[in-house]
Amino acid sequence: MGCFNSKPTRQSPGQVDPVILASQTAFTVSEVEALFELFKSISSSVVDDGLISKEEFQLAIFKNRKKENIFANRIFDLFDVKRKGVIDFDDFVRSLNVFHPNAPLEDKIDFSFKLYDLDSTGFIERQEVKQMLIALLCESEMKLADEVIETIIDKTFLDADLNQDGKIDMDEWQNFVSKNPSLLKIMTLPYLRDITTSFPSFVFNSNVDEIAA
Amino acid sequence: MPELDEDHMMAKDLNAFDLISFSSGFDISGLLTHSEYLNCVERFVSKEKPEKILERVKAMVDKVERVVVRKDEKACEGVKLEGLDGNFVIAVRIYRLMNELVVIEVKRKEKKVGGGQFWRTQLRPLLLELALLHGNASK
Repeated sequence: MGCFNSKPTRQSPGQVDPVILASQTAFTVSEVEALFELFKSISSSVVDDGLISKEEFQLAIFKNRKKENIFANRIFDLFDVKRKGVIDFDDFVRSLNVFHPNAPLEDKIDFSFKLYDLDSTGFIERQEVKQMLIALLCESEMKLADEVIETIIDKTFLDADLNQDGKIDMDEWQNFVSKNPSLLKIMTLPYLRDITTSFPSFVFNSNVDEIAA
Repeated sequence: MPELDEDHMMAKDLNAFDLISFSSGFDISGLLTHSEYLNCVERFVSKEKPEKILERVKAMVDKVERVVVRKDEKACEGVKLEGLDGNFVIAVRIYRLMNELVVIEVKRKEKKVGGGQFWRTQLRPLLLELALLHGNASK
């Protein structure tokens, strides 16, 4: 962290240059700055160290720092790009970028595949799907009998597992998603398109004019 | 299976991943929102027909003051309930699961203070009546 370029910028120490982040993502420079305000508030909510811990992540999403959730864990792990157990600002922006409405479809498909591949084997296995389905049912009011769960998984695999080897690989996932585009709904946050206007409560110092000069 | 046109986009049965994606753990919009409104979702499984569920909801709303029913343009089987005092907006949508099972999805945007009363005292009890309370798939 703490990369800098030759133009003097009024950034806090350790922050990645927003111009670089903006050029490599779907966000504009002022959007990256807005995300920085957001990042600051999340990363200081439990321990003020400029990094988002698992607890702070849980606090932001569930408003409850102790709430454990198998899916939020997966998302946290994927946001933790450098595998350090914490999310820094660079990780934060690049990962949120995948959820931007303008992000490439392949990135969303790739992210969603990794999300469901719980043990990162490169395949979504049948028992992983069952595990996730049961976890989902436990957290909601939905009640389904075991035979129903099995039937739902059977039907899904009939559709998705083209070579019938009991697991879904990346190619099969791409194919399945193209037939069921609603599966990628969770991979887009429409708010991201207009983050500077969606959140007027964020007061931030924009350095855009200085940088553009 | 015949190809589905846009009008029937929502009419496809839910598959395992559709269900899994319902988890609140996937909704990271909480990272981005700080407002006086709360966004919540709850879902129930039911064996009732979608038309009947929506009729019951509308009939109940008819009897409640300051709440109206609107069309939900985004769902072919759903309605929107609005509190005329601006306290809440609730979208009730029905998705088909398999055989006669459906999933009733309720998405609420309600004021943190005072916005949840209609849900707690009227809508949720009604839906619990219509919901499958045990995982019994048999008639």
